[in-house]
Amino acid sequence: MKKLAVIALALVMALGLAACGSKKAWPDGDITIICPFSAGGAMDTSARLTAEFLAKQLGVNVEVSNVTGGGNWTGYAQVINAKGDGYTLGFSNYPGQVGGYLNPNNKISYTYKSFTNVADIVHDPGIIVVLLDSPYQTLNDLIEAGKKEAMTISTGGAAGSDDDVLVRLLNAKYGTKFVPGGNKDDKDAKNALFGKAVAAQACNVSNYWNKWDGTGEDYVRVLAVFDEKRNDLMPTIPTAKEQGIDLTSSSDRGMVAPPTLDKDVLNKLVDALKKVQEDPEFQKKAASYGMGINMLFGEDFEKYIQGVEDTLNGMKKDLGWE
Amino acid sequence: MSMWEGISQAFAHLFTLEAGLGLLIGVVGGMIIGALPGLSATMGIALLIPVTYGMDQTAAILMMAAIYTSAVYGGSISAILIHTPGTPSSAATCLDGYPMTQKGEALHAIGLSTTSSVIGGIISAIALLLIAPPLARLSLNFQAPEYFLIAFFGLTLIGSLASGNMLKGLLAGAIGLTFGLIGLSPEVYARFTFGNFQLLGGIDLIPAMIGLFSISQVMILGEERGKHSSNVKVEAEIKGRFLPPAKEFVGLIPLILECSVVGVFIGILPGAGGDIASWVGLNLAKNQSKHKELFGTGIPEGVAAPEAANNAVTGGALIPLLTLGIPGSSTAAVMLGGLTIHGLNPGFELFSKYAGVTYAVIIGFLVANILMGLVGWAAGRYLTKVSKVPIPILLPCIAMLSIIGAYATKQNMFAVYICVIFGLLGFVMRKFGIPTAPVVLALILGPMADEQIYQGSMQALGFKKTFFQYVLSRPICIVLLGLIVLGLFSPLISALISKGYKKKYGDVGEAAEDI
Repeated sequence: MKKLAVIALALVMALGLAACGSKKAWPDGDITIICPFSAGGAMDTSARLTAEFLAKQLGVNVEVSNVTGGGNWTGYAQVINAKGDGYTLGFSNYPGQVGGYLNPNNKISYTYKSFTNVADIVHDPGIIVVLLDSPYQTLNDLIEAGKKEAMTISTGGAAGSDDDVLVRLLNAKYGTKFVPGGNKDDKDAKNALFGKAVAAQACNVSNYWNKWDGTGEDYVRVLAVFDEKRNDLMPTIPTAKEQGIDLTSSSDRGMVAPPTLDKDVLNKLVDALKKVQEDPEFQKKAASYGMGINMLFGEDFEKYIQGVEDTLNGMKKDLGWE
Repeated sequence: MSMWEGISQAFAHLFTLEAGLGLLIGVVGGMIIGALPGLSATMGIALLIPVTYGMDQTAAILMMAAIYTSAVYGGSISAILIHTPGTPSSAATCLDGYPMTQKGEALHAIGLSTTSSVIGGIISAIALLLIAPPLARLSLNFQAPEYFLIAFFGLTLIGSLASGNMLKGLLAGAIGLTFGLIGLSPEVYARFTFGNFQLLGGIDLIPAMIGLFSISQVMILGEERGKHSSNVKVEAEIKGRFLPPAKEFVGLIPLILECSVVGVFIGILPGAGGDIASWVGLNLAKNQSKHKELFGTGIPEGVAAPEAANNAVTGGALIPLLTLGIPGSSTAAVMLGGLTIHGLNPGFELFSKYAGVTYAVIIGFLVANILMGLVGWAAGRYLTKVSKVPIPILLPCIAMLSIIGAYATKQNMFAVYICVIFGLLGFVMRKFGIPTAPVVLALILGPMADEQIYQGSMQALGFKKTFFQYVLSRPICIVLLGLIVLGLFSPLISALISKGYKKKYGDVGEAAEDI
């Protein structure tokens, strides 16, 4: 009994001393995630979903602040310049962020290395769709036709967006004459497809996945998923690789932090995110938004971003970025 | 989905506590915003958008629509009682409304304005319900070439917006187009950003609009107070009957209906809004009258016509907004931002996937117009108190709300700088008699034309045509080209209208500049 009391006393003292010596352990207050995209979009939804379940793990409030403008760089710059105390985090998308700084016109001096790259969270593979009454039944039908004559494929973003890059990669690798549509966003690209102003649309699983859960309209045929394996959200659709086209493409959304982020905080954050990923409720909710979750941390994440950078660098001439 | 299915779904969205509250707050709040001489419907909604973030889609959009129509009506009350249009849409109402007050018929005038506004609003809501769904079905036929031509058409109307001085209007348009060039081009080339990444996304519309309309208004009102030292003093007794006598009302019905139809049409035109409609309405009334000389002395037609026309604009302006994403007025332009924030993309989807929400908003808008009449009838006479809020209290409040509103749209200080810079720009422009409305119109339509001609050229490549051949191969484009030719002549016509009016009746007091 006496022994126990001594141990207890020692423990209390040790904890007390630890508290005196340093600041209170992270997290001890509200955390803000800066989302450089406006409220309501796919990026915002991903950030808010992550915030909700991160809060559950950490036991503090996690808020999302939509800092928009400046081609998303207003928000990115705020993350980079914030204190590395772990109370300011950010959300970023790829290849968007990389394309932003690689384009010399933008005169942006940051790179992905300006951030602490915490985790890749959402992985949204590229797809190519045509209308149901289109003559193209498979990806190869479309590619064969594209080799013969110019065809416009609408893209949910300008030069350098993942949809645009997918179309350019097809041209570079298979000698097709596809013209990327340069549409403003996915909605614009969809409108062009449905209005038959283009032959096909390059987009992502999340744009048409709900065709499979019964809520979507059955107007389109997905020709291929540009990923290593079939997608859980549209399991009947073959990958491009299965059809002999060796290309992958995706839009990824991940968590970033200021470059000065404290190492201990980073470790705790990564642990918390790993638990979030395993939370069945999180998985269920993410699936209901059409979000594929595939978390990558640390080096794996940076390796992925470097791959995106290499791809874009290889296309600089084609993109007019030289 | 058929219209009836949509309407039946709508009731589930409409009969919620949140939607009901949104409607009521929109109507009452809109009326107060309208009656305050410093705030217009555009500013009211721009300031409100950040507040609606957490709200349900239907409630948020409905509240904005209710504010729109109610503020346009509310503006007439200060026009009638203190000869100061609460919003620019009521400038024409001053001419006969205020003389009625001087004759001791203030309540009669407010009653007339209420009745005509309600009828104009209801007709526009019905037009919205009947025209928008079929137009949305056609929206897939509107592709890049059509959007380019619509933007171009809107730009040709700039001259006519300048009411009086076409050259100054064109100058304002050129200023707007220049600012519209800033940011990433459709080919992802940074234009006029001077290496500042804050400018990559272009000039943010809402902070710029708050600055141009609201901050400049604060400066103008502040300066005037120095000159005149007090508001117009009226202590007219507000009495008499509210509802117009049956005989007078029956006589006015044809005019009110005609002005309503014209108002709806003006609302549909991109850019042209309530202020233009009210002048056109007054002109219509005058041309048909057997006693033209009585206009300006306080006759019922002079109140009924502009008030029916300006409220009819509201529903009309929502038609291209909901179906094509093209704002029919500057207020609708701000609402476009509101729609996007709530994940509602104008066009086909609004009438299929989101039909429940859309029809709930349309039907709610109809109800808002009726509710506006009831609230106006019960409380209109007390709104005069609102319009007499002392300027030294009003101005700092508006300035503060503007800055907060600008910050809230983007959560960054750069938006506040944009707001202040455009406030100064608006002040200088108004000092030189250059209208600010065309700046906003050009700021919206310029980048749209730029984007669409690029997309159109990309699509044309897929059809193995040049852009021009592509345009000529599409029937809707041919119609639009015809409208553009007509639009180019409209400044001549509209200059004649407003010249005649300004000369005859002089200036009618300062209102917040608006379209």
